[in-house]
Amino acid sequence: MGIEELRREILEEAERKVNEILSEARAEADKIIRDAEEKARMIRLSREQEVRKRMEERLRSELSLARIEGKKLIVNTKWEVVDQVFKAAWERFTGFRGSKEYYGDFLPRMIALGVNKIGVDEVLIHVNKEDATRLKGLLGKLSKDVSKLVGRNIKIGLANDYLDIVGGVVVSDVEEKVYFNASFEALFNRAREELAVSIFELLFGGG
Amino acid sequence: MSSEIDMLLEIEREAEKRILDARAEAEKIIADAKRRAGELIREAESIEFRDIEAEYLDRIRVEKEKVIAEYNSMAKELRDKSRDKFSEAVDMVYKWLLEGGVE
Repeated sequence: MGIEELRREILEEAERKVNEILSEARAEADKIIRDAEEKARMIRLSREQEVRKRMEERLRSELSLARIEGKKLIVNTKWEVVDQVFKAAWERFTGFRGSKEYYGDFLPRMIALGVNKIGVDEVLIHVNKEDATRLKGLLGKLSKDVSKLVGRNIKIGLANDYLDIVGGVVVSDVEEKVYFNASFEALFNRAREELAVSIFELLFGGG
Repeated sequence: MSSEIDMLLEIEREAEKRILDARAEAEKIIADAKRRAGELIREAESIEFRDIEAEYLDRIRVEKEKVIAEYNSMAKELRDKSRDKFSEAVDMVYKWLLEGGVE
């Protein structure tokens, strides 16, 4: 074998070796990239599922809150209507003050109620300034009407001081130890306490 | 003879160098692949799916609006329905007030 032939053989062998080394390295590099791409795909998939799960939970939570707010709106709407009923009744009631029926029927009945509650034959009535002025000359008739309603003789006196009330009457014994409050304000507050649920049921069927 | 041996040794060294260079290049190819693999994983880990979030936020907005509209409509129906019995309810309270709460 000549030297040139030997040289070519050595170099060809080296070239084969070089090709083998690079080929193996490229194959390994390709595998590393493929594995990484697969791993990255799985990570992306998993993270996407996490994001979707988190957003689904947020969707459910926000819709649930919206429904709670909606239910609150319904309850508030119902009570707003109940309030409107009481407001309308109050306006009608205050409009009734000062009428013939107010002095001739309502006040005698309220005083009679007070007399029966307190359980005395002589009472003082406490009213606002306007009613006091009006009732000063009507005490005799008022006593007669109340006596008729109660079924025994009742003496009625007008208290010296006026009450800051829209209307109605506060009845007391003469010592002013026991009171029966039939002022418009007290009656209205009691009406709210006692009738609110019934009004709610009448309007909305108890729902 | 001596010069031929020298020549052969030189060729051997050259062949050896090519192989060493190839090994170095192979290491670089693998190191590059590993670095790229690391980048791919990091990119995957840091991806935020803003488009999916935006899609959901839009869906949440639309569905919330639907729920709110549904309850607003129910509230309106209730107000309308309450008109049927409103006068009766006012009468009931007014009568109670006139009677001083006595049946």
